[in-house]
Amino acid sequence: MGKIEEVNEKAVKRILDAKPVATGIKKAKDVIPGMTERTLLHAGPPIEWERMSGPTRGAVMGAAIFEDWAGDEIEAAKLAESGEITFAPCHDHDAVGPMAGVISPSMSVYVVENQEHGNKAYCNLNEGLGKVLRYGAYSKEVIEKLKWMEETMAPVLAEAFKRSGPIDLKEIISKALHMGDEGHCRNVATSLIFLKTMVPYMMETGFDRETISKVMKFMGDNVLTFLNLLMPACKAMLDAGHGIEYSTIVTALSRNGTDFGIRVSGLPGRWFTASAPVPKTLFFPGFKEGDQGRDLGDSAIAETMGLGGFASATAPAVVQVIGGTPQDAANYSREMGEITVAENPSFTIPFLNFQGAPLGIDIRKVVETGILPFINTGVAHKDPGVGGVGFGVLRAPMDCFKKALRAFAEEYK
Amino acid sequence: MTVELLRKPKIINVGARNFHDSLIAQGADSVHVDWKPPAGGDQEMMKLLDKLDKL
Repeated sequence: MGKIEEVNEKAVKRILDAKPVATGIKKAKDVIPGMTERTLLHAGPPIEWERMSGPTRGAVMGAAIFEDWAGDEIEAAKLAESGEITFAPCHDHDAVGPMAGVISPSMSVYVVENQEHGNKAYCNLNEGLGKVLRYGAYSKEVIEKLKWMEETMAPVLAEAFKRSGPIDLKEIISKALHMGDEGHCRNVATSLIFLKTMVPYMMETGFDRETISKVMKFMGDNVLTFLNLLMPACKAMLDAGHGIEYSTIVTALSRNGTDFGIRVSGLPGRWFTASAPVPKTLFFPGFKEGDQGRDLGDSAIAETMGLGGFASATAPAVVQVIGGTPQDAANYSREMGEITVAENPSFTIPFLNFQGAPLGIDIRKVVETGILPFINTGVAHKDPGVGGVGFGVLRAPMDCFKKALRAFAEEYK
Repeated sequence: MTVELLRKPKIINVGARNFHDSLIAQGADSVHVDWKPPAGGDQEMMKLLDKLDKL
């Protein structure tokens, strides 16, 4: 076995041994390392205001209004241009955010802890679909919803977590893969299992029944409630395998609407980027080809962990949305096995005889085979202020992997 | 057996898929192998992959 294979085995073992649990909800400024009073974290690799995509700009402006830094989008844009806000990738601060992924200091975040290795990961709470901050919208309704989530939903859940103790996220994901979810675009089962788990503890809190009922309804109506727990769970697992010398395993696939970036275990502190592709999109009514922006979000951490597009075979309904068949869904999962080094025995795929989901994207295999990671995703309008326009699929760009391979060969001569 | 082999060849098609598609259209028994040159023929990448193989 070569040196790289040996080390990759070690990296994958750490990822598989990780035990991500949700322990509570806290304010971002109190728990996220490096968060300051004027920091906005965003999805994807580093990017400055001038190059930010429409939806990311929209989310930045909305976050500035939410934080009372600006009265409207014009003031918010001037503030963003001024350099007074520090922009940084969520990933570089132990966090992840779906779509624009903007996390501001006052936002509540889920705290996820890897009980095996001690590292933590954070993510904000999911707002639902359509015209929401993470899709770049910043209207009065968007800000009001964010404030309700902050003032009502987060406190109820925070109190519930105090009573429930740590929630095993790997167990929820594992069950849901046998119930038609793939963990990225389809989180129906995960969200219902999570809600069912938390309801008794929510009822035990001192909040009145009407308040608890509204929170339960909000969570129950949102089929992506659990996405914002699955993402930090995947990050906590993958970060356990990050920073291992000589490892060619990809520990993050991530996009900011302008650039697509990857992180590699053996090359810590570095991003390898290329232009973010435009997803092949199935549009919501009222939207059409040309409305969509480029690929966006930290949610491809799901694919990095062998879920989402990699676990398509568990969720034929998702592939059907873009015109595929259950056989196509199975083929995607099998194809991803060509660029990964292991199978995850905790995340099994019934349609493929309970084979483990493909895990451990190897940059060498991607470059050698030409097979690119297959990702399914939400899609935002290309302009700020609009919101979600549909769901789509895409392949990660080859240039990210070629750049990483060059850097790896330079680093490990 | 030699006659049988000549009458009903079983074909493994490697590389360009359209050869396989033509054979199938003519009723032949063909399996397609989706082979591509390593790294899509990119010489720089092939050298890097070889170099890393030796680590």
